[in-house]
This record gives sequence, C-alpha cells and structure tokens, in this order.
Amino acid sequence: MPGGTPTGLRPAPASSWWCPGQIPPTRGTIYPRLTPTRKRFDEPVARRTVQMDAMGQSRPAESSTIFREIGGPHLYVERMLPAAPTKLDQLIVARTAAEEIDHFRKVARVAGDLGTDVTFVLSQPNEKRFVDAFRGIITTWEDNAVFGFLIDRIGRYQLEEFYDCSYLPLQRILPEIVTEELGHIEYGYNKTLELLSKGDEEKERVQNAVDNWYVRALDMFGRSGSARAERYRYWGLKRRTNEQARSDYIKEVNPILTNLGLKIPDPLKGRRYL
Amino acid sequence: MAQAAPNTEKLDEHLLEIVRALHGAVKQGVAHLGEPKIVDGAIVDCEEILDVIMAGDVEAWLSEAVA
Repeated sequence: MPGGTPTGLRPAPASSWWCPGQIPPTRGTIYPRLTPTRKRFDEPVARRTVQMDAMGQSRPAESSTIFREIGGPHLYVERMLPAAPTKLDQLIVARTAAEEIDHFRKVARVAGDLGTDVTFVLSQPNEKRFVDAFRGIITTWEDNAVFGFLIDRIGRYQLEEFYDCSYLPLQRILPEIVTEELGHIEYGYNKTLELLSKGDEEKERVQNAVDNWYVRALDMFGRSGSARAERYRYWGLKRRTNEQARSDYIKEVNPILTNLGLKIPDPLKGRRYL
Repeated sequence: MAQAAPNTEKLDEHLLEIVRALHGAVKQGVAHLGEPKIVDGAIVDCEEILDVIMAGDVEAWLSEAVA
C-alpha cells in the first residue's frame, strides 16, 4: 500500500478518497514525546511556538511546518487542471486542490485564533515560498503523479507528528486532514503505476520525476539536529527528530520504489539540508 | 485567551464557501461523466473558482464579504 508497507504492484484501494472523516491508522513506530506529562493546552504552548518562530525569522508564521499547507495547489492547478489526461483526472485535481485549500483554512483558523495572521501565504509568489519543493510550477503529468506519491506523503508524516499533541485546537483538525492526504498519496501512487504500465519511455519520464522529487522530499524534513524540532518535542508538539522522521520515510518509500521497478535516487545528491 | 487576528472569522467563512463550491462542482462533474456538456461545465466552474483562490486577493474577498 502506498500509505504503508508495499504489497506489490496493485492499485491502492481508494477507501479513504471519497470517505473522509475517519481517523487513519497509526503507521510505523510510535515515538514517545519528550515531555513526561501529557498536559493539554488550549492556548499557551502553541502561542509560544508562534512567538519562538517570530524571534529568528522575517516571516515568522511561514517558517513553521503547520503554516505551509497552501503550497501544493499553486504548483499544479494552473497547468495540470487543463492538462490532466481524462475529465475524471481533471476533476480529481480540482478536488485535491479543494482539500488542500480547506487544510489551509483550518490551520489558518488555528493560527488566527492565536493572533497570527497567515493570509500573506495566499498571495505570495511561488518562488518566495519557504519550502523549496513548493517553488516553481509542475508542468508534466509524471511530475504531478510522483508529487502526490512522494511529497503528499511528507505532509502525512509531518501532520502525524502532531497526533495526540499538547495543543487541542491543532489536534482536533488533524484526523480529517491526514485522511485526505492519504487519498492524495493513493491517487499519486495509482497514477504513477498507470504511467509505468505504458512502457520504457514513460518509465524513464517517471524516473526523472522521482529523481527530482525524492531529494526534495528528504530535504523537507529539515536539518538533522535542528534546535527548533527539539523544542517542539520538548513542548509535546512533535514526536520525532527530523532525522528520525526522514529515516522512517526512507524505510517506507524505498521498498515501494523498488517494487515499482524504479531506481532509488542518491539520497545525498543535490540535498540542501542534511 | 489570545486576541484573534483581524478577519480570522471572515476569512474562514469565505474559504469554507469556496471549498464547498469547489466540492459541489466536482461532485456535479463526477456524477455526469458520461455527459460532456455537464462535465465540461463543471470543469470550467472549478477553473473559475480556483483562479480566484490562486490570485490570492484576500483584501478583495474580505471587502466583498463585508458588502
């Protein structure tokens, strides 16, 4: 399965795609939080999080993982909505964008209720986005498929970090968002599989897309030994260090790529954050 | 409790309307995949709605919401 252990070259079941709202099963190892007490907060810890970001960044809110959600649609809507291979695919691109916009809405509400306005994210050009993978634009269907398969998976990883976190308003919005991200991953996987069935030329194009997104995906976990990630763990907002999450992602994705008959790219080539 | 950022509520409502409209257009298209006129119309609706969001003119959205 694209969301977990690969079981072969079968399309992923679309169970979560049209039926959002369920709490997805927990995947992989559960890492304990650093804070010994599972205190629940309705405000203070998350507020401190925003303030901490503000100390070292010119665009404080954007630098935090939870405020990056609107990035995806700006990458693929312009070219992929008109260029998707079938009418159904066009509609699914629109539906995916709708879900990502809704994720932004929910996270913007959490930030807004804390006094942090993140609306600037809606109007800034792609090249100014904080996450490197969200700069530029997706121009090929292969890139679009692999983006869903590899990059939406990062979204799932980062959001799962907040499961059972100490800030309740954030915890409450997670299950539906993660369920929808699982749908995006499944769709990307199934489209990748579909493309691979079209022969060697198409396989080469898919491999190029994997080479491009794989390295960016690894960078999206951030620097190993990040002090900020450590503080998030201390506050009970996250479970894993950046390097633990990246390592888990590699362990999950590499066998899927191999099962698909694709080469695993050099994990160090072109990396910006080690 | 913290003071909410200005327009938090209005932006939330506006985006929720946009998301609902998009989902409505998608459902309309999916339900009529065999009928080209309807599905093409639904895709045009999706493009139009997404164009507004991608443009990101938040001030205009909020002023319209007030009006």
